Amino acid sequence: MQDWIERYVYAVGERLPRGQRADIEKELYSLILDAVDDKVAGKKEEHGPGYTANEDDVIEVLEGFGSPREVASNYLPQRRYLIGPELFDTYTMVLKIVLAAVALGLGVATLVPIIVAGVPVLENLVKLPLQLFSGAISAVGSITIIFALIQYYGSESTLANAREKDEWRVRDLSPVPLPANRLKRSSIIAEICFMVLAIVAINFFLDYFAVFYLDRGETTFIHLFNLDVVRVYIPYFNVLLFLNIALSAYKLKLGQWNTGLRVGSVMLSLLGLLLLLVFFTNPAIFNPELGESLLAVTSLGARFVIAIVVLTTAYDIINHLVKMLKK
Amino acid sequence: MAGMEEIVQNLRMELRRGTLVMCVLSQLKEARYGYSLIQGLTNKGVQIDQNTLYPLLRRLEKQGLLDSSWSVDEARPRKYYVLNEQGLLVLNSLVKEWSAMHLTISALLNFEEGDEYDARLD
Repeated sequence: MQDWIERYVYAVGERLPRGQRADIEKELYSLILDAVDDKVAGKKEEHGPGYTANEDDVIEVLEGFGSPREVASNYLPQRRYLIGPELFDTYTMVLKIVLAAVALGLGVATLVPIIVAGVPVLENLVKLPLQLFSGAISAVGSITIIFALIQYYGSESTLANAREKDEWRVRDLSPVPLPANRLKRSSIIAEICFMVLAIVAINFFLDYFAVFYLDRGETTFIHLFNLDVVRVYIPYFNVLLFLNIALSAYKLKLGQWNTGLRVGSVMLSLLGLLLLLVFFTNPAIFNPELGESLLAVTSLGARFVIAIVVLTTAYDIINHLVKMLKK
Repeated sequence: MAGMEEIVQNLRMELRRGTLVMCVLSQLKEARYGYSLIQGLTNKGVQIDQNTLYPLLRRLEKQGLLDSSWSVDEARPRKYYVLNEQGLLVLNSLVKEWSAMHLTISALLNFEEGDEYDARLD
């Protein structure tokens, strides 16, 4: 008979945090015995003073308390979240960015070999949905785990800090952006994805920048770049890309263009242009093994790239200047 | 309407829930243990589930409104809860609020003692 009570108390205790477990168990045990006593007192009136508690009485009392899971959950803090409201907005934003990056990365990783190396089209395209699916699952999974850990281990004060950011004043509300100043979240996210992809490409897949060609039915390739020379430039490109990502993150935060953002954006464009100019005007970056005719083609390509970048940068700068002046 | 009863039931529970802490605090000017408190409340017509009350007592203790101690003088060890100074202050302000609310709402509902509330809108 006592056994049922012990089992019950244990089943509740199992679900409680270690720190409070012993005390709650002890109290619950005594409360259950009180309830049993009360039940017996009632039955004594019915069946005479000789009545003692039997198994059914105990079971009835325990059923009255409700399922151990329910009882335990009442003792736990009321707000239990895997990812609480303080973190949820950040969580969904990170999720969107990472999912877009995964999709883009996998798409590029599938398409590039098909285009440049003539890998069988169908076979690789068929694989794509599956890869997207498993890529998305592992991305969602790992982000969720990270956020859940922050929620679980993040001290009350960190989470409270996140909550306090919700404090606002009417006077702090940013003005409704003019249509020209509006920033689209989706395109900023796309920007970030491209930059992440670029960072991955120049740091890990430099080998793949190559000329592929068929030689007696076999695909062969020659590196496009002289890797030893190009590696000198990589850190500068990395810094530039990371600065761009930081700028995009700031855009996400602001949600609209302002003068500072425009100036920052123009400066980064100029910096990027400068770096590309320095890079592509150095003839040593190309692989000398390419041979004269291929070298001619690649340096033409380089000039083409520079021309495009100059044009887009110029457009960008003028665009920003006009909009700054309009104001 | 099928859901009507359920809606009323939920709203009634919400209405009661708001007063629960005040009811519990009001009965703890003297130290009591959980089971005796539940009986005391039930006898005075306040229905409260054991699953609600016992955890609530702990929360109120954690919030610093109640003190607790284990008594070992009786047949079995029992955990007693009692209002502390802060709890008393909190109870007093709750009671004040309650009285003010009672007046306001009674006036709002045009309710006089002994009246059956007439739901007509006029």
